[in-house]
Amino acid sequence: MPLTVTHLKKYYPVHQKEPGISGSLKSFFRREYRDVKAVDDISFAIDTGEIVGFLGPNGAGKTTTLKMLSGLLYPTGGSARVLGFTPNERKPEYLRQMTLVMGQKQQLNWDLPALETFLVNQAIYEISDEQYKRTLDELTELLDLAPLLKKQVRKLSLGERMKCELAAALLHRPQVLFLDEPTIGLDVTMQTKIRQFIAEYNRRYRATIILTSHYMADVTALCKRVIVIDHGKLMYDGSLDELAARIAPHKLVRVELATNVEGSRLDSYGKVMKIQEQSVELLVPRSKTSEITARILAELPIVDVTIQDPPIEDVIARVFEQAALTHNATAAHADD
Amino acid sequence: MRKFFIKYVVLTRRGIAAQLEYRMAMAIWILSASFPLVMLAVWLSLAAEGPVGSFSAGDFVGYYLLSFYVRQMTAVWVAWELDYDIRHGDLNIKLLHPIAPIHEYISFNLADKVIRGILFTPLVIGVAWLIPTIQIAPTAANLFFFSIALAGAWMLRYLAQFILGLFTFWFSQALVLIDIFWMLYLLLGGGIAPLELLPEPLKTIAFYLPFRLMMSFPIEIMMGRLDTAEILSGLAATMVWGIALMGAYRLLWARGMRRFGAFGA
Repeated sequence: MPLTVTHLKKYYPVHQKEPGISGSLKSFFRREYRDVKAVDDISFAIDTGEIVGFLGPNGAGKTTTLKMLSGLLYPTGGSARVLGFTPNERKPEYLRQMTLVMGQKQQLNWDLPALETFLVNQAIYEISDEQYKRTLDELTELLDLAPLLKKQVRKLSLGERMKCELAAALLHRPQVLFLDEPTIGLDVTMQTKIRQFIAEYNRRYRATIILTSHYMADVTALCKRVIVIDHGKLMYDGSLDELAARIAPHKLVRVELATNVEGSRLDSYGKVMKIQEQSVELLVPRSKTSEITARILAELPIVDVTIQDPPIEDVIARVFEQAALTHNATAAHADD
Repeated sequence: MRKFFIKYVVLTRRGIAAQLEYRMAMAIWILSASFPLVMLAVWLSLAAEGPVGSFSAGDFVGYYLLSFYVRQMTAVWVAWELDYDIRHGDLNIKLLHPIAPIHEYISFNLADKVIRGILFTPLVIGVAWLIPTIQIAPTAANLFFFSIALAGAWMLRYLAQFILGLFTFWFSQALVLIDIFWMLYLLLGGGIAPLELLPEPLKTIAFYLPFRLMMSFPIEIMMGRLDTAEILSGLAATMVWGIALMGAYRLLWARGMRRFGAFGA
């Protein structure tokens, strides 16, 4: 496996202060520190060419994990191996094969055109003129960069800037990509474009990608596999479909009726979520979906039936809710 | 080695391009660089009634003109950059590059030196030309040693400030260290008065500390106040301090990286 994480941990000492002047004075004379477990013993492995979605609420430890994998942070414990390197040794040979794109931090020089940063990266990453030209042409085509390259970066829109950021981060054709919120703040069209680009890059170069995002569309479009973490702990690692099946063991059956039907008659098929005139939404157990659908078709005056998974946002929200519950339960236990 | 050189050239070129965007800031440096001229006015009024120690009015003019030039050509602000980058997470971007971040910082400073060199070298030569009473000794040998000593002064100032900036890894207000350093630099480097005019024991202390090598030493060379042996021992001292500071930089950097919280996004 090109990327393996074993019992990885990162604890931060955080200094505690009560609000107000007395709190400030107290903390001036005696600082109290408490360890915050940003990442708490997680293990996983990722294969070449996989795109894995990293999910979790704010502060779950996603970014901290990506920072450890890209060599910005020393782990408190455990280990990470990427492409045969230990990231925190920050060997130039490793740094030349990976990239970290942070949606909220930019490497482009604000006052100069993006092309200027590209040239600097060409030198820093020791990219040959020929490869530089080829890669830049490809990226220009995939991301429509042509009209942007010579404009001062600060004059670009957020989406245009993100496209240039991605290009700057990929000029050296990294094998491993860590994308931290690459679509944050972008409009839907631009999000789609960036998404398509990531998929295309993955396909062309068989690059291994870990992606975090708040937009579920990013994850459903790109990642077959997701890793869910919360409070620094790994909650789930597996396929997105299975996660949906496990967390939300129901399907949503939408029925268009020819005539009005009493609500009480519908109750026998499943949980009625919504009745609006002649369109009805029923929540049915996943395992009984086909059986119940057959009954509906036979017994009710049907115009149309559709079967859907509940929206993935709801599924993820439920993962986090459950995570919070177990977390609170253990916390309560610890207080006893 | 050639690749490394190319990296520097490309980074420095970008630095120049970036700094040329800030025309206003450039005008402000020129104004803020006038402190040596204020000191010159003070000493000229004192020297009006006769030389002060071994310094005549012409010596003071030479001294402060050179002091202006040396300070311009060794100006360093990397501690502020480090402080900002460490606390706001901008260091992350540099850490991702397969080149040690110090080189990116240095190249930005070198870019500034190219610009200041183009601006101030003709200016200083012109002023020296226009003032016939000025006391300097621009012989070929002195110019040669002056250039080396100037580069050495820059290196020591740069490393010292880089090291102080690295303390931001441990204390969020590391910049107060810079204020202390600046005061010592002005006093023991020869900014307030030429070191020869300092009272004992300050004068002797100043001679053994690196601050002299950061400002006064190249000036002393160019004023013809040092013989060859003194020049060579000064250059040797610059090298020894340089090696010591580089060692300290390496140590603190490695420790700081373990400590670094990679704050910010």
